[in-house]
Amino acid sequence: MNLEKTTDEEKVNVCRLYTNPVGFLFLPFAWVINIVWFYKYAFTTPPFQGQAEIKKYVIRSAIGTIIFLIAFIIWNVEFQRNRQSWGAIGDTLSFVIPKGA
Amino acid sequence: METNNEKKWNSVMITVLYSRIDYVFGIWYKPKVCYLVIVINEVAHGQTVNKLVYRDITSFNYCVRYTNKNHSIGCTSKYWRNVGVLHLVESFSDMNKLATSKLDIDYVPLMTPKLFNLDNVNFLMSKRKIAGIIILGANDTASDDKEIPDGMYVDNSQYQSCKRIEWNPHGSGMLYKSFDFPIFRVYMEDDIQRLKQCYLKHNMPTSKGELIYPLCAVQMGDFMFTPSNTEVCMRRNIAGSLTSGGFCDPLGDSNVWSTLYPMNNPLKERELIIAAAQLDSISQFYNFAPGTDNDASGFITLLSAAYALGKAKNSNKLTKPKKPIMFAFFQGESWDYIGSSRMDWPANITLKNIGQFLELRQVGLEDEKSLWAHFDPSSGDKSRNDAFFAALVKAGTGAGVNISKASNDLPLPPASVQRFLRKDSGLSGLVLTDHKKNFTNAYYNSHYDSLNQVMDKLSSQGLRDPNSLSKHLTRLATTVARTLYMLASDSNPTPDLSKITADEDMTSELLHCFLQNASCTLFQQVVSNSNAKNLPSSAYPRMVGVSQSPNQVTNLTNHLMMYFTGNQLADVTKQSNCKSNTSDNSAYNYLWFQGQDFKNVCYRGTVYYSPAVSPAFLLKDYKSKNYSTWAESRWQSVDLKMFLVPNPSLQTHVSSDYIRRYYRLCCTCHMCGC
Repeated sequence: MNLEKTTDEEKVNVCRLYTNPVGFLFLPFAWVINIVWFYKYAFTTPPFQGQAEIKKYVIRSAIGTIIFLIAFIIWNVEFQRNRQSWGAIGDTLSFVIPKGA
Repeated sequence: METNNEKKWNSVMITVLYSRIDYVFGIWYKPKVCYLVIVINEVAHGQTVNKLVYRDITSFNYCVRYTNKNHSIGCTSKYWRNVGVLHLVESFSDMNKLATSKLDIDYVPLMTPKLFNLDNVNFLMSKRKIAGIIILGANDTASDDKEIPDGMYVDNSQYQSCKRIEWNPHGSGMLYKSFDFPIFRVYMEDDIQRLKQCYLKHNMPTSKGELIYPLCAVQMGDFMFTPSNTEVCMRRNIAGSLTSGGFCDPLGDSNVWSTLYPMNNPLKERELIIAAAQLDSISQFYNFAPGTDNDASGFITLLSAAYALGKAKNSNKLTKPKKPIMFAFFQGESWDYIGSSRMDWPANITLKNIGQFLELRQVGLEDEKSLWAHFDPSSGDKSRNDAFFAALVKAGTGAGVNISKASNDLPLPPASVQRFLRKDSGLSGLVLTDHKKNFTNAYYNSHYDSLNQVMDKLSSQGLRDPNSLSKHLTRLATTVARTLYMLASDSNPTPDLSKITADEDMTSELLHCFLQNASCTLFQQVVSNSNAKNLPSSAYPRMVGVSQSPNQVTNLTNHLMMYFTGNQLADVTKQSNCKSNTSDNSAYNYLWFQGQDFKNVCYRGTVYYSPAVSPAFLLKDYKSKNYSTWAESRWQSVDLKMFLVPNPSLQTHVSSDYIRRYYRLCCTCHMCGC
């Protein structure tokens, strides 16, 4: 899809769709794509009908991305640190189990 | 050969090229320049850099990792191998020098066997970072096993406290320690000299006590996959099976058991007579457990006794005795009695049927010029025990073996029969050993328990004949065979024991085959002609191994028992016909092998395998209190390489271990030429 050629109304629809529900599907990649695609229309282009809405969705996507990344990093650090002591659960959650003690 | 390698080692090409480029570009560009040099050299000379930098040491035994329910024992290196600077330790002063060295680097002590004991290793570990240990050759010293091997008395408060016996006072328990570095034993004189020379040339301190780079170092690779204990390991075997492969395998193999005559009738209570021995041994080094006195003396005696009885039976000199005689060879006994704790009896036998159980353990030597019969003080019927001992002494007197009874209040020494007595204390268990109390053999479960060592010990006991061991075991085999027959015939009819005599040639052939050369005539006779070519000209290792790969010692024992106690079927001339046909008694087993005249024959007999994998692994109870939980780690490669290590300041700006490896390799090219 070429965003330059779509109507403003359609842009708002796509942006809303990419925030929710598509955004929750490929955490956080769809949100990041949403931000990249619509940043220009939300903040730099001259005002148009629906820009406020696009701005709202882009900001929500950004907040979602940050929250998700923080949660993901915290989980990852905790998992790597505690995988051994979690015993059976740690092993079940691991895809590749390192060799040795 | 040596000079040629010396040339490669000191490659002039690399030195000249490298030192010039080094001069122009300075230290920062070294890695890249070095790779360039490597490429040029590869193209120009067609020899790999690996060969230029590293000297492979190939003749070594290594220590691997085992786990049980609580912990792991043995050795492992890091994933990227361990590297340490060599330090020769031939005396206590060398050890002190190493302990007080001012350089903060990892060391690999090159130790003589005499100094390699737990106290010294602990001392060095407390003072220095030890990256590994290399033991030079092997001549003497101590037992690796702990002082009191575990048995039936684990939960017995009486024998755990005041009556506890230190069976193995020579034991250091080193075998059951866990080391986070590799321990190798280098045994070829060439390799030993190479290591020593490299140390003497590069690592001798100057008059001021300083070491000058490059230093001679070794890289030891011995990385073990297994985690901290068997439970975790078995869990990860499943959880990581797709992506990580296996981590460890349960120890185990098969037991071999056979009966002298087919056992068709249902057995009466306390009727069965069993003679047993263990088939395996251990030491600190993987697949290097000569166990001459420990297990070989026992199971070879038992095989020789089976030969004597089988020969007498097949030449129709024997009348079939009233009671059945069974031979049992247990595998994995060194690892908390794997074989005997598993023993699956055929449907018509329960423990209640066992009357007498004669076990041979460490019977190669003598204590006070006698062998010693041990009974459990609290089990068995008094009169049956006494009759058992009397029969053994009578047979021993006839064959020229002194047998005495060990003190009544002693518990049983480590023995398979303990596993049966635990479940049924009604049977009479007799353990025949060469020690009155403490082990006579100072090398219990150690790699020093070799044939030569046992011969030396025998000659120090006054038996100077080179055949002393086979003579001794033959007399004992006669004793065992006659005892079994006497017990089985219950003195009715009065047996003519002189017809049962073990053959000294057979005993010495068995010793030769099992301890020196597996491609001997006897082994050739009991395998098929295609397998005969695969018999190695060295001894088969007698560590139990893992259950997935069959142990050759078990196989050969099974075949030998068939050869000794079975019958040749003269009318079967094809391998495909060598199996039971419908009219036959299905209790028989059949084997096709070369036979006495190497003509391929079919044997039929009552010889069987039974699984010897600990019940703990069947029950998936990896914290089992009752059964062995020992498992062996998996590993990929084990190697030992010698090289010259440059000043660490040349390496410090490269942080990643991985890059440092290659960087070191580069630096070393330069240093090799120095």
